Amino acid sequence: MRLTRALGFAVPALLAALVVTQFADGTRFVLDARLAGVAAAAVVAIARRPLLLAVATAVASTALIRALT
Amino acid sequence: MTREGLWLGARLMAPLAPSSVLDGILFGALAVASGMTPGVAIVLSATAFSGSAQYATLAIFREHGGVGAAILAAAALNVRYLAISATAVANSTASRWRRAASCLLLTDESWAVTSHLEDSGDSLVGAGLVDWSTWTVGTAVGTLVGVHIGTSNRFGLDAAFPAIFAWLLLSGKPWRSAAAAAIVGALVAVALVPISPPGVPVLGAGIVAIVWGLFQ
Repeated sequence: MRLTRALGFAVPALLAALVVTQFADGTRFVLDARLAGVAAAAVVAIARRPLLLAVATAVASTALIRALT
Repeated sequence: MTREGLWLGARLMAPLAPSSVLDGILFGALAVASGMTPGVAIVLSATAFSGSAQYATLAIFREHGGVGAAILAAAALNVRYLAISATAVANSTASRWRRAASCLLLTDESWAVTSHLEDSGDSLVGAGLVDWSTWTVGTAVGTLVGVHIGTSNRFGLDAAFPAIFAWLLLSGKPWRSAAAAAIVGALVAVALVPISPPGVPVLGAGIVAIVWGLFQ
């Protein structure tokens, strides 16, 4: 059904928007070490590994980059 | 309702129970680390019972967005359950009220493990109860962990939220239409952030994607 399919489009759109808005601070964007963390989480997700591993990888890689820079 | 059906569902769900507990722990810990009280986090898991909706609520709560924005975003993330619940109880012989009640326990996981059964009604409830109790108990355990993390962003903890949404987005089914919808949503959010209050960019992305979907 057309409406069901259209409603289904809301999920990827909302999730993508939620990724984007995590980098917003008020009305500005703050792009920092978290970008590397999200990229690492994306790799974990595409490899079909669990959510907890994705979060741990993202937090660890972000912390590592902050420690190095 | 037969005990056999409930048990069958519970047994089918059992292999996924440990990961449900771990997911609950993660949510509980991040909720408390974001400033939510343990009681609210546990009640949210017990009543909302939806990871994506709860993380969206938490993200909007963190950026001080309104309750209305959180409720609408949570509803939009789960509006697909209108279709899933209709399919899930299509073969059920239970009364209308009982079918409606069993759909409250419906999750992607409980649906996936019982959907191959002829009459999945009772087993859906059994699987749902395992999923619900492990997620809620996990959240309660997680709130105990979260108290020790504190609300600071040290250790790169602030990377957890974008990572969660990226995981939820990318671990799903790789439909081409989903990728297009994700790009539309991201672009709308990028455009709306500089000109609107917190919560609005997310809602705008959902609305534009649905309207865009209607014309596909």
